[in-house]
Amino acid sequence: MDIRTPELFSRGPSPLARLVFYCALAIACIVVDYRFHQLDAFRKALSVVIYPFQEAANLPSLLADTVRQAIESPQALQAENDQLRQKLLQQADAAQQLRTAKSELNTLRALVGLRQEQPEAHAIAEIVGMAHTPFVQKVVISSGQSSGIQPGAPVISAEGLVGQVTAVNLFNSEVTLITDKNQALPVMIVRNGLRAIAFGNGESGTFSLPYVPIASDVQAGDLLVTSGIDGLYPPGLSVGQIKSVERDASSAFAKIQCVPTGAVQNHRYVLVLGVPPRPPGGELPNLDEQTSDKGISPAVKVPRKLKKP
Amino acid sequence: MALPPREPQVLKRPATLRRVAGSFLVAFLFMLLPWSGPWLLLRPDLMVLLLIYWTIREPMLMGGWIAFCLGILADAADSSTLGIHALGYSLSYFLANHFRPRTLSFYTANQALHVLPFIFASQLTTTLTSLILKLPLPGWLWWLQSPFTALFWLVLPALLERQSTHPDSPRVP
Repeated sequence: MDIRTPELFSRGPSPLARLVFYCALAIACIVVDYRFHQLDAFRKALSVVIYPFQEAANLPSLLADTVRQAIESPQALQAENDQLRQKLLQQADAAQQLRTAKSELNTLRALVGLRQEQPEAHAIAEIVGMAHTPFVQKVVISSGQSSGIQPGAPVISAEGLVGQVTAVNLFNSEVTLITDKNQALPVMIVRNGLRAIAFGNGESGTFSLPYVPIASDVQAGDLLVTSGIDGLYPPGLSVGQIKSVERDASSAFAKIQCVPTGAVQNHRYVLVLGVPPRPPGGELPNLDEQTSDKGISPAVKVPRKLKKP
Repeated sequence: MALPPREPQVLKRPATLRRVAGSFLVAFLFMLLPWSGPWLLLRPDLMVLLLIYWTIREPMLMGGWIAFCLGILADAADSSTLGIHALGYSLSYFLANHFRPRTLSFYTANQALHVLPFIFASQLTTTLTSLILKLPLPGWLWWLQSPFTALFWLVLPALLERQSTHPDSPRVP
């Protein structure tokens, strides 16, 4: 019989002392993980342990999907198939033109001595879940380190940019959506080429352009694409559409709210692009090589002599 | 004046380690289900509820380090900064351990009201830490999570104690 009696006369630290100890340990963990990113290896190891449980927890929804597909009528599937076939034909023409244009662009770049655009690696990944906390806007995709996913890689859907890979585990990766509060993205308005930085709004599933001067030519309905000036996102990826523009005389900046085009709720599969190679400036010998290898690499390295002492 | 006859009390067997671990496993799988939208905000935190439950029922089996480790596991599963849940769970464990005799003196429904502040302490700590880390505050539904979790306290004895009662256990008249 299982009998547990307290050990008499063996008094450890008081409960309050234990509480202070564990709270201090937790705060130390938060600081080390948030500020210094020194617990990434531990987190990766934990993700391997959690992976089978995550797969088991996803089974009910996978089963529901399978049952739904099984009872879906063949006519509906045929209609969807026809629709996709038509879409493919429509895009075939554009794809051929793009191929020709890319080839011409590379030739012209070679003529003027510019860097050749590297072919970007692509990997199709399945969205297997959303982040389980309401504080961040993230999704988990089924490809990880074993599939060659790199941290910082842009992720797109059929409609447009979805987000960026921010954590790569062995079997899966986390993608921070462009609507996340801490996600910044260089964008450009298609109509007039005006560049801006977009910031996510968090839970509402929208993003905003907070630093656009009040007198700028911005209208509701303008389409936004990536500007490509950060060297990470390829230029021209569809990002979203401006929903509303408010100009308040008391502020120097307009309040611009936008909706993303690549909403993840409607998609099961996404495309992970490759991380482009560093610009030539990043390979100079006098650069601080240590900074870029921690967490997500910045697009351009900062020379040591320009850094604050 | 004669006292009214009391209900015969059943002497409960202590819960086995397997039962405690199994309940935490179920709570962990429950947490990993694909919650989204308003359901993610309302999702009951069964991990903290079970932590409080077993701290009150089986204090010899629980410890601060278990609360801390469960918190770290919840952080890793939640893709949040490591330590956020660990902080909240440690606080909840301390409160449950401190007010254990008082909580045990109530019936199950009253106990649910008593553990609500313990659950809310964990949620408030998580929220405040996230705010300090400049994360946005979720919608108002988020604040219903603790009461929603406390409601599950009402069904926990039925789920976890039913088989602990042995038919041959001595009965206190």
